[in-house]
Amino acid sequence: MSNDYKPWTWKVPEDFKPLDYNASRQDGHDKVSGQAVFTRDVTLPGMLYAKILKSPYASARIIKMDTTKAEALTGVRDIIRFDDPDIRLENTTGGYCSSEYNILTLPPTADFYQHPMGVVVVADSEEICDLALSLIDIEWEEMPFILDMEESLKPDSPKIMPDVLRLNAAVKEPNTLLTKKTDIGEVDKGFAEADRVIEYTFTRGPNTVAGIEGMACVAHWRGDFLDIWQHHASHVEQILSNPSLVNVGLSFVSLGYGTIDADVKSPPKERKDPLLPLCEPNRINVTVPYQGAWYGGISWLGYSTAFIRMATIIAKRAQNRPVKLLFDESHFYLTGDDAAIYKCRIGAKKDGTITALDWHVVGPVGELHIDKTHESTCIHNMRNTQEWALINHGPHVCFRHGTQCCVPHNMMFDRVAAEFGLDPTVVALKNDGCQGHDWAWITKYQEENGFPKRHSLKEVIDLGKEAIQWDKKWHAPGAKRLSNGRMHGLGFVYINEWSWMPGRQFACLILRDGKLTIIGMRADFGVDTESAFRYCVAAESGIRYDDIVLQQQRSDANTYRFWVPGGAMGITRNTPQLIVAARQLKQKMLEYSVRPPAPPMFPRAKPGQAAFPGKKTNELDVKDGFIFEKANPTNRKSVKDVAGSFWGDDPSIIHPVVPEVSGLTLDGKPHPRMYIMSRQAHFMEVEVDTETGEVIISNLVCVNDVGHLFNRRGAEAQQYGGAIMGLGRSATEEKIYCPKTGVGLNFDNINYHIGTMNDYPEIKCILNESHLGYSSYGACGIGEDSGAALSGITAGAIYNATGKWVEEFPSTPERVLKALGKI
Amino acid sequence: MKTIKRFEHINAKTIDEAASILKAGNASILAGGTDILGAMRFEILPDYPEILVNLKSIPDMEYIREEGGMLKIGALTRLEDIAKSNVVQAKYTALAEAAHRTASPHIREMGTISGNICQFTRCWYFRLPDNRFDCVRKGGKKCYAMTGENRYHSIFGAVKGCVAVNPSDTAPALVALNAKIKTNKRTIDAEQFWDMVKPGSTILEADEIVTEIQVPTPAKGLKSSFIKFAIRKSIDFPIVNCAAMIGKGEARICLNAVHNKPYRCINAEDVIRGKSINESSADAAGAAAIEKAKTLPGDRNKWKIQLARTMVKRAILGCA
Repeated sequence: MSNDYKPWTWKVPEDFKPLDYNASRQDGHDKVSGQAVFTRDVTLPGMLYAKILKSPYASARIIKMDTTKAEALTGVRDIIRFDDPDIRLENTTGGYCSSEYNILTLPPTADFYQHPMGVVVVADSEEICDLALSLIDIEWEEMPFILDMEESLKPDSPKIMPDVLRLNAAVKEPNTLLTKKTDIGEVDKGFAEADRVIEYTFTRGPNTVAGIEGMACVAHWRGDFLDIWQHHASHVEQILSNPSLVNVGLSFVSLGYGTIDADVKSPPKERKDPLLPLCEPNRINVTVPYQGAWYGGISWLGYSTAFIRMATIIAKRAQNRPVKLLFDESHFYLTGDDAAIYKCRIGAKKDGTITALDWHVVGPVGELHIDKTHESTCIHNMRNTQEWALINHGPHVCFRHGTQCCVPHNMMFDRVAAEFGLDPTVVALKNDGCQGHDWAWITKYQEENGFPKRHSLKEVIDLGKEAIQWDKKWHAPGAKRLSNGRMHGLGFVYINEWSWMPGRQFACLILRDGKLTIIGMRADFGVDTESAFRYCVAAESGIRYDDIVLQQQRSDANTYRFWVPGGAMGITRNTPQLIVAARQLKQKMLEYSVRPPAPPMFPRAKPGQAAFPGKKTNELDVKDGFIFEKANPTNRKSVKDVAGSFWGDDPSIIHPVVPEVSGLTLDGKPHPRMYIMSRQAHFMEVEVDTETGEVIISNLVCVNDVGHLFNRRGAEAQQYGGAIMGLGRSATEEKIYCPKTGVGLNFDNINYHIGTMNDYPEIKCILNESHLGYSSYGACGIGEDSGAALSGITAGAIYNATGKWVEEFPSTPERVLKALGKI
Repeated sequence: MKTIKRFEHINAKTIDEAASILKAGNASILAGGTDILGAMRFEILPDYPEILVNLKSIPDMEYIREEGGMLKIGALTRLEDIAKSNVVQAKYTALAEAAHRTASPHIREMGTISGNICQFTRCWYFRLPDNRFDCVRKGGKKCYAMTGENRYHSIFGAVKGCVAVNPSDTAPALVALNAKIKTNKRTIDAEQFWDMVKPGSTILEADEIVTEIQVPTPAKGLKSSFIKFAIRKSIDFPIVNCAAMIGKGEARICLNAVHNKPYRCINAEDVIRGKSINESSADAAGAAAIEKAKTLPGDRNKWKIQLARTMVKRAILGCA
């Protein structure tokens, strides 16, 4: 058992405290000074610009296209039409939208308003591109569009998006992508055991990403070598060089999950014409500049896999001139995968015990909507049925993801609490557990596998309740009117964390001249995971934090890379390898200290001596950049002096490959399962103006159990950002379409009401360390849950304030007024 | 982001010079630029000016002063300056509050009072990029909002077939305060300043330039207030706003964002005039204000009627 890989049992280095607020940030100067270069900012000598047509229609087909006038425009260098032979193969594959279908690369059909499609113009400037696009004469055939998924599911609906590759072999004509049913336990029996069965339906309108940086990719061929400046850091080399992995679609590859075959129960038909490799993998140099507002990560940028291939093809035609391919609409063409109708039945006992649930969802997402509930409760009996059909909303993708799980999860506790007059925190605790096991069972599992005996949900609820004074303020629904005339309400949501597993990454440490470099390509999108990386390596290696830098933006070797998405997965996936590497490096430094350096290059030079002659490695330690004798700390030498003399023959490059988690047991027997034991709870206090429907959020407390805390500043930033994103999605954000034309009407940052910090009160951020994650020192993530869990928090708070349910999200004033019967 | 089409930028030295350039055609005014530049960049209109005449190069266009029994505000005075002005806050409260509630701090630091009252409508059909909808306000034959998505549109019917609303925050305050708009050609009562004129929102002629806002100093005992309902308080245009000036037997109440132009609530004024202001009288006036309100096809804007009633009531209570 000694070889078992259990990073949560690792001993935290002595004096390891979370990173201080005023610690240096590697990206600090660039961003504060305005010098940070984002992908869209990249400019190269002789660079050409390329722009794609965006569809003015929700559903239409190009019948005729005349590019004559655009071609004649001075400065136009190339025009690539949908029917260009160079793009033909790309057009049948496209880029990731979901596990069920892809958005095509440059099709002749428009499937949604602002669909990038039809034609690309390449010119000397952006301005010429815009002008050239306006000079292209296009004859359109408008086609039927559908905005309502229930309409699209009907067998007699018109077929929409006919050219889109359906990836699931079990699709139903004309538009159904997926129907599925999942039962866990004995659902009917569970309902029979209930004291009451509660039924309700709620809907979530279409929302979109917070990304403000429009998609961009710069490609430059130098003979057979390709330089790419990309907008995100998926496995671009695979996408460009290994078409066998992208035989049917780019979906899984674009996520870096592996091959297209993963998890596809009904393999789609094989392509007759597989994609071609565009470049050999070892000739691709990738740079990932700073990334803007990346909330939700690679999933919403999945289309950019197709986008990058297109940029590469365009650049090839540009004959050695770099090309920057741009899409002007930053994100509004995408729609959140929580946009759905949720029809719910809950069986519950009077004490709040949930005996069964049955959720029928008409909406997107291949994942189960009961996933989070199954992972984080002891409820035995669950059913999830789902129907998903194409609609002309723009692709439904996962960003700020998990909302489709978190909202029904928390609505359930709110509804059960309301039904029996209980406090929702009590109902949540009553049903807490993991995968049907109660907390007593989990406690036994914790004991046996080296975890502390902690009850995360109880801890975060206690912390949050105290901070918001829940017990003092809690009241029956609709029972408290404030002196300003508004109704007072409290809301609560919780969820478990997404990122709780350690990862296997491929970063590398190089020690030179006493300075440590971490090499691993990833995208810096502002969440400051980088400081946590530097800090854990500092703590474990003994090198000073400020002597460590992270080289992450460029990869010529295409070898060293970190797990890409955000802070949460950044910590859990990447720190185990960094810590193992830092420990190996420290051991190596100690070994340098007790042996003489290699013979000098020049024979007449005096041979070197060991830095600590006669000492053994276990008698030494490294701290703050110095190697010292434990028994006599004044006997010390700098890392620079010791390790530097070995540089010529041993540059101390460390890149260990870490194993998978192993050695889990229960009752002394091998037990392969892992359980998400950490919880995050959020509390809200609102005032509802019953004359206007306005919901004023007066107090917000976010409590995140991060397992182990590395970087307080970064973690709190994630809490803050996540909360604002979640609140916006709960209360105000909604894409609005013209019912007559299908055109998006508020696809801009004025009319799309994304939450901003100025709209909400100061948030009290509380971090809990239960050490119940499976990653380093028991760390788990923080990134996803706030944005997802808070996406439904207003419903419970409004109910507590008014005694009325707002059953449509976002819970806009209009909907509150409707619920109150005022309109 | 789409590049803005090229245009000639002329720094006018005098109002007369600016007017002569405008008269020659194909030119438009550039004041704070927060509206015109966005309109040009996104190409919301069928035609574009080839020349922008910058008024900021004309001296003495930014001022706030009391003179001759009135408040005079230079046309290029920034909204933030109005919002922070002690004299405006003290005596012309509705205007100070309206300026303060306009947009965000950055925009208020650039946007001018004249730009705020002359801006294009925010109707999303009108504003969609690339002149996507050739609506009636642009010379087309159809108002797409009338039968389309109209949750933010007029509750007092169409004007010349258009149901877009005037989005200005300062406009209702100026009407309530009985202000006048001085141009290079005439002086216009604020109440008469706006209309549905394709594609703009005012009765200004092509070469007519706002030079000054004149607000009579309210008599002692008159109080004014402004209230706004928006989705996000941090930045948004109003869903409904309202300004009121009440006291000494006088009452002027004006809603905005409910109609093509600021909507003077005569019925509400009649109800509250001479009465003591309290919850009951304010509520009655609010009810009177929406007597003529009606929803558009689909009833999507029904909520705005409730909001209008509440805004009137609260604006009145703000004058107590």
